[in-house]
Amino acid sequence: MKNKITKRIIVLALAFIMVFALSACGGGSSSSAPANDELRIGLSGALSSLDNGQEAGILNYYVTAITQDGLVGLSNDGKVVPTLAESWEDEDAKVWTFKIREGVKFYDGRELVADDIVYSIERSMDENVSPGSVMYFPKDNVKSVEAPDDYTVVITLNEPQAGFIQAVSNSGGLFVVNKDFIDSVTTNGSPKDLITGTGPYKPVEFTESYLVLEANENYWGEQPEIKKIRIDFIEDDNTRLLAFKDGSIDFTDKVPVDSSEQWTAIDGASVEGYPNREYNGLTIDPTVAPFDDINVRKAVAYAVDKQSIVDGVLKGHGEVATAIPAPQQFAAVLDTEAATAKLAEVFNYEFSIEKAKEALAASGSADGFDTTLTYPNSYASIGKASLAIAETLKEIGINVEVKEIPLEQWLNEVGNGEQGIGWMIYGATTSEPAEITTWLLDTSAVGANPANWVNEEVAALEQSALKATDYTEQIEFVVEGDSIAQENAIYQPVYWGEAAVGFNKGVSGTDFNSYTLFTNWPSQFKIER
Amino acid sequence: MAAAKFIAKRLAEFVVSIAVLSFVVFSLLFLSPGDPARVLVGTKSVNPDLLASIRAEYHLDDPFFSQYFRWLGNALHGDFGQSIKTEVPVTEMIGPYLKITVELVLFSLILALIIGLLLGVIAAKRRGTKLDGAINAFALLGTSAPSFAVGLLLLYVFAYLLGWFPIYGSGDGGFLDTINHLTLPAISLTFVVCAMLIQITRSSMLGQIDKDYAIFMQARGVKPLRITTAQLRNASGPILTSIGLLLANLFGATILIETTFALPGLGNLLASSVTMKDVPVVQFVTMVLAVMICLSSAVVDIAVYFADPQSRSFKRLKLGAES
Repeated sequence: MKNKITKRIIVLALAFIMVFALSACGGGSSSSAPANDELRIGLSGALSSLDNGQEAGILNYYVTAITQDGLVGLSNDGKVVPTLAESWEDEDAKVWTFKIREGVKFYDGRELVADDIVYSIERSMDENVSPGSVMYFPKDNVKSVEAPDDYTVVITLNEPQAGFIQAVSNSGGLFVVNKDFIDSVTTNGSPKDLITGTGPYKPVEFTESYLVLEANENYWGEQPEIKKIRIDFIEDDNTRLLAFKDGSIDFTDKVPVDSSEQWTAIDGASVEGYPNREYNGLTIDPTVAPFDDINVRKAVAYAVDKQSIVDGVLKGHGEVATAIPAPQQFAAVLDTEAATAKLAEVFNYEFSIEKAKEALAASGSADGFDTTLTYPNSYASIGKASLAIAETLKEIGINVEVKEIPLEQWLNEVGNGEQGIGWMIYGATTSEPAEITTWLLDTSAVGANPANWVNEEVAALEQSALKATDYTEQIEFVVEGDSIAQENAIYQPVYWGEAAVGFNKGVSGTDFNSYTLFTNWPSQFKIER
Repeated sequence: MAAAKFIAKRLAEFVVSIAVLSFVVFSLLFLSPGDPARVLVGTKSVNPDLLASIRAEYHLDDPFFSQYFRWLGNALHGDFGQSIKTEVPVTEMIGPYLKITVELVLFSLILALIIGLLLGVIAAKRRGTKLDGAINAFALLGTSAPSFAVGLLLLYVFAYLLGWFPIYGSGDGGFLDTINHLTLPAISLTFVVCAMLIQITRSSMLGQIDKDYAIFMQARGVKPLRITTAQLRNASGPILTSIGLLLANLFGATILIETTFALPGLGNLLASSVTMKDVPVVQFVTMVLAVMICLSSAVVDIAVYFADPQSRSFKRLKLGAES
């Protein structure tokens, strides 16, 4: 009797193995290498819309960079370059006149005219249609957008704004669309309706798990060598690593810096790390007691051991920040070396427990106090850095309770006037030197900046930076304003981030840096399988 | 009559649970910190007017009850709103996500039933032996292992080392390709949920093994498989009830598994929408999940009612006496 049961079980088990084996064969695994004009990407997150005005995450920009154009774009070294506008000029950064390239066609073959650009700018300025790009076009500053003829667009501002050129870039807030297309679809950017554009690639298939792009035969520029790009959304770092090892993907936009050895260990694979212009620093709110006392703020600033955080927490994958903007943020006008030299002018409190103790002793809280420091979940490095900071602050008598909270809660806490010390994490996208400081140094009123700091002198510098007619002039104001802010110990920059991308066997990329994925990036790839 | 009454009672319970759940989820989202408008723009500087305008568009500044009853009123008319993140109506966007999750859950349910019943029956038949011990250990391992770790292990061995299955994604939509893509996630899910089924099958089978009818059948030389079938049938009450729980567990466990296998299912959608505070999507997804769990537990209840010979014959007798 026992034998019979056992036999039946074995037969059943065999039947199952057969079914699985069959299904495994039937699927036709995709790991056979495709042709050299096809690129397969494992993207570190999912896109839910291709409309960048609607969903303006950093991953959305990577796709927009190769599907839709602005009036201008970015070059691989961070300079603003002509795309749909052949040339432009500005009168005191106030009246901007763009000469539109002739013969540009949308995916469907219809020719682009200046009216399409006016329509697209109006679309970007509509907060209901484009909540993700509307901040690039402050309503009180854009006076008019006009198309005097088919190939000219004139934008008039109320106040001069040197950085305005970034707003009309596809790395900023302008994605030129065909009005007929928008009118003909119900949800622009959805899997059903896709998008329209003028870029080197056009989306042909978009689902919840992947996106397929093909070369746009109507592209105005040089036809790309890579004809097809398939982007799979693989959020989990471990799963993406397995797909990479397996050879199912050629490239990934994100190699976690703390596990990059696992990626480089793969035969033929390479990982390229680069500074990503992400500012990570402490904000000390002078409206919250006891931080209203400058000596308390100084004590905190002195007690941050940046070098240990970069070496210990980041294992060297990052750079000690001495200012708010990273040197690469000035790339539009200065190379890294010149920018580093310029940023050396910014005032700094160097790490010193002795000086921290002295500052605290001179303050109204000489006996120390308790405070909290929150950080968003999913930001593990920031969490570890928080603990390191809490450790050194403890030495001078300040007890910091480090708390991990959900990202959405953390975002709500930024600058709410209740946190004595808080983190600021800001990944810059454009190459405007003042991108980050435009916000952090807007000291005209409480609530205008995340520190709730009010300072007339810095506010005036900030206004000058915004209205500067060129970037070199803007940088002067940024450096001066940042210096005053750091001397007042309002901001204590901790580190500038580093990112890494991974190339699989047979695939390489030249000159990857923090601007590359905002440009026509497939042109940087070389595939020799 | 009794059946109609039973179904009506179940239906009423179902409507009440859904209503209560919708209210609870809505209030939790309302109470949790964070602002969808803020999440949309991240740490970038944002003009207060813009925030106000986004908040106004989605009525986020209205009092709680006014927001809830607006949602409820629209929902009763079949309008569940549109996603804050993508502006697509939620009823329209949910289809592909729902399909993946339902396929995955059904696949795992079938696997769990086969493995759970088989191992449970074997353990009961061989109680006290090494095999029984091994099956118990397997069940214990399943309950204690985190599903994403199991998923990663399976991925490493069967997808990466052996190359039998794809590593990520949901395939091109064809039947075989879907099975191919869902096998590893389904096995991981099964592994973590089927322990309960093994235990319940084992203990309710144990209750049947020494029953007089079983010994009598054995003495009469009835084939072992027929005896086991009869025993299993008599033990089916608790097993069927546990399937309802199993299904609820499966829907819960998909969230982690879907992330590991890069499957765009409801779990993944729910997780990202909660982070975004995309209220209409979260509300609708929880409603859909709740409806499915309630429905499946109702089906299980009805199945128990009809499958258990005791309750059936008792009812029949009672009905006969009444008429």
